[in-house]
Amino acid sequence: MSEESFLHRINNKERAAYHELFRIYYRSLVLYAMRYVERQEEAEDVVQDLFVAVWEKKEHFLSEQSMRVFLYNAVRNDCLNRLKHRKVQDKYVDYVKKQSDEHVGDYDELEEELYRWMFEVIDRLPARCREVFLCHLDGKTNEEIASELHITVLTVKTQKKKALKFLREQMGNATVYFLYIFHDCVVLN
Amino acid sequence: MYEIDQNIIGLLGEYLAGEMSALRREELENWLNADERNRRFFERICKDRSFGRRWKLRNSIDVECAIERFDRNTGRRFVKNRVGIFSGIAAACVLAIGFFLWNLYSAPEISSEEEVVYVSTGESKAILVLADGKKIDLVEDLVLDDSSCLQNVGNCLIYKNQQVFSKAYNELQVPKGGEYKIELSDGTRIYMNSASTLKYPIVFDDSVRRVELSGEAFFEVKPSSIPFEVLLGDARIRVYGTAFNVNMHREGKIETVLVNGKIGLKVRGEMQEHLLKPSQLAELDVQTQKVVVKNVDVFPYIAWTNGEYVFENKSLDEILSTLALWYNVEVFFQKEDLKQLHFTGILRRYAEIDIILKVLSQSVDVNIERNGRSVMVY
Repeated sequence: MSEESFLHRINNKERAAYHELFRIYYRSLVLYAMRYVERQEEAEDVVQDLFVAVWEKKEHFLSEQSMRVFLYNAVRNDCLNRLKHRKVQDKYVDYVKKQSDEHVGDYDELEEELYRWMFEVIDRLPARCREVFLCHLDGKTNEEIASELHITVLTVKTQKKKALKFLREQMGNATVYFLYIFHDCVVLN
Repeated sequence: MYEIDQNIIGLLGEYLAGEMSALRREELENWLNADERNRRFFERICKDRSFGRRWKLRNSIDVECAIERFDRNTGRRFVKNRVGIFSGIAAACVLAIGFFLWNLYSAPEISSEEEVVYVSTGESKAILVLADGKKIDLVEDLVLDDSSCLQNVGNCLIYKNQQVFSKAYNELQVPKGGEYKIELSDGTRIYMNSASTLKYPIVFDDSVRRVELSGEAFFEVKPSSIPFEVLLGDARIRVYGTAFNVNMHREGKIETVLVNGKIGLKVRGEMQEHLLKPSQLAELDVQTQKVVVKNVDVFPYIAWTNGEYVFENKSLDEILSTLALWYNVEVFFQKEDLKQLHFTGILRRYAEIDIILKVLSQSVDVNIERNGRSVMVY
């Protein structure tokens, strides 16, 4: 029950659990904030303030899923507030329109979470494999990758296969399925 | 779509990686076909050539530094509160001992012979009261005898547009544990939540379309030159256009949230009409008769119409009150302070109550047990 106890530890305000929370979500939340505030420094302030606020409030999360949704929403709301107060009219109007367009913000969150998942997987690839895979994700052909990394096309293909095998193993990852089984009353779909 | 779907992320990731089984490909196609926006999103990320750049940007963010900053921002101030901590610990000990003794000496509140009552989730059921006082029990798919002016289709009562004017009123009563939908003769659709009653004319008159509500309902008003009004005790909502939710279940308050269009809330005896824009909430305090208008994210308020309950930092008291109406149970708190535990989360409305109670009690240290139709929190 690893996810349950992580959630429990977060809800019990265990500092070590909060540190883990940082390692999992901090960077993605900062990247998400940068869609609104642009400056990395300010984006980091937003996310830092949020984590501190959650720590200090008597907030209890029912699931990691809903905690995730909450975090992204809170980042977006804080960013919008900052933009509003700075009277950076264009950017704010842009995003207010986006908001009222039936929660389009969801796709930004989905995108960020997609990349976060992929980053995590890529993190764990061996170095050479990772290089090849990153090039592949940038849309480069096998020939282009081979010439860029100074390796043979055969090596490129092998490394790609390795990465995909690893990815597929990650798909069958216990964590993902666990989320389905355990939380059948928490919205997942 | 209020949640971030893990399965979709998996599908997209597999696609980008370049290898997908036919079955998974089909799943992805289904999702793409489900909504035009899904497909647009998909096309956008497929064209994205900046993954490498994102990767570098992401790696340039120093997490450990942020963690240190967090520790500094939330550091325990030992020196100042030293006395506080010790007295806190002492108090906790006393409480712990007290609790232990209480447990030891008091008979358990819940009897060992548990009543085996199956508590189902809420379901589509209501009572229709006709103009002549006759009552009809409505359930999903019930076929009504006289379908000249109204029909029951699935879980929705539908009134046909009448040529002949009639002054007759009907009443739709939804009990605890129930929900029902209704379509009035002008095409307005109303989704009624548990413990709610709607009184309405079979045929609307020419000057105003007026209905009376107590409880909670989500309205989708058909636009027309004739204004639409909802009476809520001493207040009324005038509808200038489409979709909003009214909730009268919060103690001492009437809450209405506007999704689309424009509505105005007015209290009897007051001159002022409070106009709402989309994504605004008006809260009327029944006692003081004061109305407060706030900007909100509408989704938590209308999530129930999508089969979900969304709680954002809501107290356990409020959460269980909401669930009590839907599951038709009663909640008892053994300690007042437990009411103030706050939660944030999404629950599926059609899940079994015991699973929901388990999720609540497991996320933090609180005991929630059900015995028949009584739920105890201790």
